Amino acid sequence: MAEYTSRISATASKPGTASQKGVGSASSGVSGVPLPTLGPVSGLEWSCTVGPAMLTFVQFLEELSKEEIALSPSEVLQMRQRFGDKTLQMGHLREDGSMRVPVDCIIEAVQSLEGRKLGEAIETLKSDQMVSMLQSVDTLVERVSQARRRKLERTVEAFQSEQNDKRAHGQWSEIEKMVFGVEFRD
Amino acid sequence: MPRIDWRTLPRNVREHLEDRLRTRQLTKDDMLRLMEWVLSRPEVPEGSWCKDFGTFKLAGEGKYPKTFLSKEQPCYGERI
Repeated sequence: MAEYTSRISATASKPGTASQKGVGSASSGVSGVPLPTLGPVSGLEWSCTVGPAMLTFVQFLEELSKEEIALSPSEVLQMRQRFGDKTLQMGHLREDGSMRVPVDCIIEAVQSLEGRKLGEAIETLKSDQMVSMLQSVDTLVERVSQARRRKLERTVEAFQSEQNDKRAHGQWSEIEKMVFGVEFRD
Repeated sequence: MPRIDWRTLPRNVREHLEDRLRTRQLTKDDMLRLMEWVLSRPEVPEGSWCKDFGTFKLAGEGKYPKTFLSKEQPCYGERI
């Protein structure tokens, strides 16, 4: 799990518009041959920066394939100052002040927002000031929390209806991790 | 005021919780309430404490969570 600060910037654009950002854009291949647009993020022009470097398309997909994203302590602090303790409902805080947020919950939250609101939310997160678009981020934070709750509900339902005890125990381990933020090693 | 260290949750307590959820003595709403409370990172007293969730209770001492109780079982320690 990468322990760095990551920012995904996305702005609404017309579907199919070639992105000029990044080596591997979502809508333009290296040889200029258009790539199929990604379902959930089509119409979005994106780049993902880690420190001074920009993520390639493959690196971006690698990030998406991870189970959790780590928000840095400073990001968590900033978000708590601006959006209150509802920020805490997105994921478990660690001792160093960083927060792990499940990637699938972020994706579910992002998919539930229309492109314009997502763009606003990201611009607001990038800004150091309180701006009028606060509502969009507020919605995004809440949607991540809601996605987290839905994920727990689904896993509990699966756990309770699972006939196979071994599989059920595996689901229980997921529930423990979601509820307590701990992977117990036994 | 300490915060709970969930890594110290005893194995037998976790197994008991698993069994109660599996047999539907606890519901998904109970687990949601528990998760939201855990995520809020509550501060707890140094001594014995008890959190009543309505349908079940959690008792602990300082940063150590000790046991889950049914709603019929009496709480001991400071109520939080």
